[in-house]
Amino acid sequence: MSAVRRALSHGSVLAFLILVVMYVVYMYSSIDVLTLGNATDLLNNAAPLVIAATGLTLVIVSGGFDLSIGGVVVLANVILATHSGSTTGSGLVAVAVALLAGMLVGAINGVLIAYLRVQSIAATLGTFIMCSGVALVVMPSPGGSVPDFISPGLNSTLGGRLPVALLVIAGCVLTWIAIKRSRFGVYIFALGSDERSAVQSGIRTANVKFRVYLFAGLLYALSGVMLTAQTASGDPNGSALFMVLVFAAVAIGGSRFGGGHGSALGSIIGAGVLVVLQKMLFALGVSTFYTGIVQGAVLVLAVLIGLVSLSFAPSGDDLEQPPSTRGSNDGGDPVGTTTGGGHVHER
Amino acid sequence: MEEIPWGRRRVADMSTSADTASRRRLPRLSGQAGYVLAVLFVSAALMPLSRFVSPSLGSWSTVSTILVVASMLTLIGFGQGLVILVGELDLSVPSTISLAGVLTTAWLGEAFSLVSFLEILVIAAVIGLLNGVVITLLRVPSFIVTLGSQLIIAGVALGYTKGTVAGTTPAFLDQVMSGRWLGIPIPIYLLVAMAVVGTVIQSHTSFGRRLYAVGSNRATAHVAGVRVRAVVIGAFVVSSVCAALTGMLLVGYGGGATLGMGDAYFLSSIAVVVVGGSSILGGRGTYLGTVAAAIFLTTISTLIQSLGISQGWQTFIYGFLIVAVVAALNKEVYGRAAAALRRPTRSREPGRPAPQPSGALR
Repeated sequence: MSAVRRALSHGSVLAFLILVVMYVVYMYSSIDVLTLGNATDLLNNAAPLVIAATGLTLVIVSGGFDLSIGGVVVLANVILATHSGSTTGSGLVAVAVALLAGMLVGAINGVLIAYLRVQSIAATLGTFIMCSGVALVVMPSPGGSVPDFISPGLNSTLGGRLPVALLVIAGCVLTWIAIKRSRFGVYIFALGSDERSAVQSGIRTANVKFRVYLFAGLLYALSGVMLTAQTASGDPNGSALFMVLVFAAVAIGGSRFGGGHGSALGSIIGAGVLVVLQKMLFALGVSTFYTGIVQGAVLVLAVLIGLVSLSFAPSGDDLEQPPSTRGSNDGGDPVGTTTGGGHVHER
Repeated sequence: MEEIPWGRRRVADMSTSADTASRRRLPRLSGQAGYVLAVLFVSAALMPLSRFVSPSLGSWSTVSTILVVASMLTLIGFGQGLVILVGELDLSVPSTISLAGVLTTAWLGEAFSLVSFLEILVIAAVIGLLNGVVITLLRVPSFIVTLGSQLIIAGVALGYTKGTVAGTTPAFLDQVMSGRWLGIPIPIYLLVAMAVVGTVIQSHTSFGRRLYAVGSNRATAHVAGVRVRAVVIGAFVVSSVCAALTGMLLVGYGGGATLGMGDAYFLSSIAVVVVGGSSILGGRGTYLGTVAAAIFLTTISTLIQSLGISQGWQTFIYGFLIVAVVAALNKEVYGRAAAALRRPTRSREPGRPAPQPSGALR
């Protein structure tokens, strides 16, 4: 019994159960779900969300917050749509430029938040708007095209069997595992749990924060590349809904907004839940008018489920910190108060 | 309780700087008043100076247009400001504006119907109530809840209209937004009235004091007998009602409703509060700051538009301003810059502890 409780206390396990249930419903509501083509399609839809959610999870675990996702994804999208030419060579250069742009935005976020100590919500709100502006300068109206190796290349299968998107998702899983086992990963969790203690333990927190935002920026840009592979064109305006979905994926995956606890594996499963949900609703014949309503409801429900799953945690677990350490973390980081305020203070 | 409006201190900090708190009280207050005046002064200076950019700018008609547009930002900034003051965020504002706008044209019609008018406000109040209840009772982060309700409300508006907005602009809204009294556009009176009423509510009522108390330190507020949940729910209700009223004004201003009419306020409702000098962490800020920021941001965007530069650069400058203002308001930035230049920092406050790593000063 306690093993079941312990398992359920991990948000990702619960998210995985939801994913399985929804996939079964989807399987029964549509006929050719299990074909390779359909599976590839599903993975292609999930890949951009998975990459961005991995990046956001790093930021969230470190106790920060990142609204610049929408901006970086759109920036990468328009760079590819306008400057990738028609050959593989020129396309690769454009991809490199897009990734560098993502890292540049991440670096700006990092400097503002880690070294100038601007609140992460305010700083990334600003960089999000700035990126949207630059995207409009690069590409004033939707359109453009990308070379074949991006689309359909990144959407297809290797040797007719292995979807590229699956490799990308596997890459995200491996990256997360590698980070989590590294010293850097330990520092991120320490920073998110209690910044003061992290400082007193000799961790150079500003440096860790900076690297978190830098790496997250790179991942958002990569996510933009995979998104462009799907649309095969550029759109300087469409990013708000994607950003909402990324946050939803992280929330469903059971990461705690406020830092110190979370897993990209959960976020990746969360991304899967959202994509399968869309497919399932479409297969069930629900009008696209109401997709937003269902997604919004799933977002709120997912967080509720995540909180319920936290309550399964056995007492004395590392999830539950004494109120005093939480309080001090709370004073210094924006997320603890703006998003987790009630949770922290009223227990 | 007295020092709460001017800055939340962590528990650890309080013990070391109980006396510095009282010493800092007066300068902090005058600092904020000075900031408001500075923002207003820059806006006022920009208006005539913009004549050099384009002769048509700086005229009375341009200035009054700026103030009319700013009046809507002022209204939405009040609700969002209260929510930010208690340390939360309301991202459902844009779709609430759109829903209210859509319902206004569909239900109010040509003639003024008080019942329909109140119905729309009640719907908005229910949205705010649900946001607040889920956030406080179920303890879900406000960012997530209001992001979810934004999707849900936008879906309801889309489903209700089936994609095409029906109805007409009510005549009285048109009169409110384009009418004049004593030669001055009516929205400017609204702006002034809003500034007075908003300041009274936020700074001179018991509800306002409770907002500051909750935003400064929930545990302390709770111990002091403030019903924290009720106050937070109240802030969200006010925010949604303000959003609905803004939607109505936008219908009158734009002569109709669209499903995306509120989208522009997604970021600017937060920007106006932050640029107005409020802390995004809650517990600090004045409504006059928000009013000044609304005028400032509208002036800036009008000026940028008239420079003839593209929409993209306008957006970029807008974002840059937000970062710059937030960084400039962050007192630690100066300390850091000074340290980087290896100059000894000024000893303004001898008893003050060295800046803490987690950013106690904002």
